Amino acid sequence: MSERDDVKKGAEQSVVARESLSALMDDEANDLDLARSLRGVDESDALRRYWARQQLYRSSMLGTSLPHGAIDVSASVREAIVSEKRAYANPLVSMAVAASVTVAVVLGGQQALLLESQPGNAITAPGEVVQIPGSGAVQASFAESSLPQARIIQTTPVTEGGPKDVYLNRTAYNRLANERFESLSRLHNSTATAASITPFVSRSTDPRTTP
Amino acid sequence: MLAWAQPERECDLEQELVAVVEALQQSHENFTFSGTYLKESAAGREFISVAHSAGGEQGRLEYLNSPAESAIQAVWTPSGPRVSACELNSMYALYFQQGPMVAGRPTGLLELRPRDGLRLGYRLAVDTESGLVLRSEVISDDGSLLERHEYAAINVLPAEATSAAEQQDVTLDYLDIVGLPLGYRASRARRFEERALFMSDGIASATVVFEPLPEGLAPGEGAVRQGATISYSRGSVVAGNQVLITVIGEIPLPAARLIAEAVRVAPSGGSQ
Repeated sequence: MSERDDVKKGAEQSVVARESLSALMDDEANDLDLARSLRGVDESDALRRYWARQQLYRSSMLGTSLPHGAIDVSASVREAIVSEKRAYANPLVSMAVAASVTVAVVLGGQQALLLESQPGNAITAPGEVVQIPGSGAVQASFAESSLPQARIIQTTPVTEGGPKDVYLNRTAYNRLANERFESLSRLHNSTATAASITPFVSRSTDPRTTP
Repeated sequence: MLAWAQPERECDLEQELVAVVEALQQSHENFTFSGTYLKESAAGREFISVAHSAGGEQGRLEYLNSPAESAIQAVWTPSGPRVSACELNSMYALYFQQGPMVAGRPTGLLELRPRDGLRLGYRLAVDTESGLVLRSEVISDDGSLLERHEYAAINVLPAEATSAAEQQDVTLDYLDIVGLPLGYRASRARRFEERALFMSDGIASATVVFEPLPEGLAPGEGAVRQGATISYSRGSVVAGNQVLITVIGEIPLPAARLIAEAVRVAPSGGSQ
């Protein structure tokens, strides 16, 4: 292969990596995009700068500009992914991993804002993640129009005890939370009558969630 | 504009606001009603028929479009201790104005906007005559609508005078739990005292249930929201035991987290 071929191949790889990175920032990345993006960022300063520029651009479009060059979150993102290689086999889990990348990016942004002593307003960042003051990063769950959809809420992992597979753990807990929603709705609707003002027309349990 | 009695003022809120909060809480005791409302949430749209007799502990409710056996349910009516507008005002900014016509009846529009991120917001169209909520909207911290109920038709009849006279004040024995979100108080869940705790700030509410952590599951957390209701499950180690704590209620995630954290310490019991 000639030097010219090498240059051409490198350029093609760069384009592909950028496309994967864009997909990641749009929360549309698949496993391949994820791996390609992380490898690309790891190997290429140019790609890392491209990522930072895109983050700034998107943040400014959302009205939440981050201080330029204040933080490079790619290391924490890589760490989040590398520690979870086993999860890639499960497409649902890999989606969770992709989401966690976004969360890591947002948390990076928060640190940057803190460094700049910005007021603690809600922070919006690529991936539609918002920060509620005084809480962890939470998936922006409520941006529905007239009829909201059920959804799993992105939570930050709880760390008690030793190391664990946090993303598999989170999937298991989300499933548990969903099961408890179905089995405990009626109990809650019954106990909640102790609230003196019940803003709902009547407390009832959807027949579809009745155990 | 309003038919509600004007109670004594307790704080600097407008009298109309104080009156509507009172009327809303007395409505199930003072009025018999039956009607059909539309419920919209993440689960979809449901037309629900409801009937309630003044002062009754339970009402009857039927999901009109559901073939399931549970389509007909007995539902408990609100029965907790009264909360005043002034108490609510410390947690919510209250606004009141003339409301829309709902099911052919004039209403007043009561808005409760949370003062922090630990509760949801509410917009209630309250029947001018009875204080019944004819339309309710539950709103997230970013202003998005989570759940809505609205009557399409309703018949309202005032109760016999004796019914109101038989009302008794309700009290709850509050538990001393440190670290609950501001304004929330804990009690044992009525009818489920051995299994669950009940948390409320007077309007937002959540039930907390404890069970052993499933074998092999490390400590962690997960949450799912459907409409205004969140179910938050957290595996924790409490006094050396692995416990699964589930918080289910109409509260934001940060409040669910704080509640799950607070109840890890065993309540000391007793009333405050």
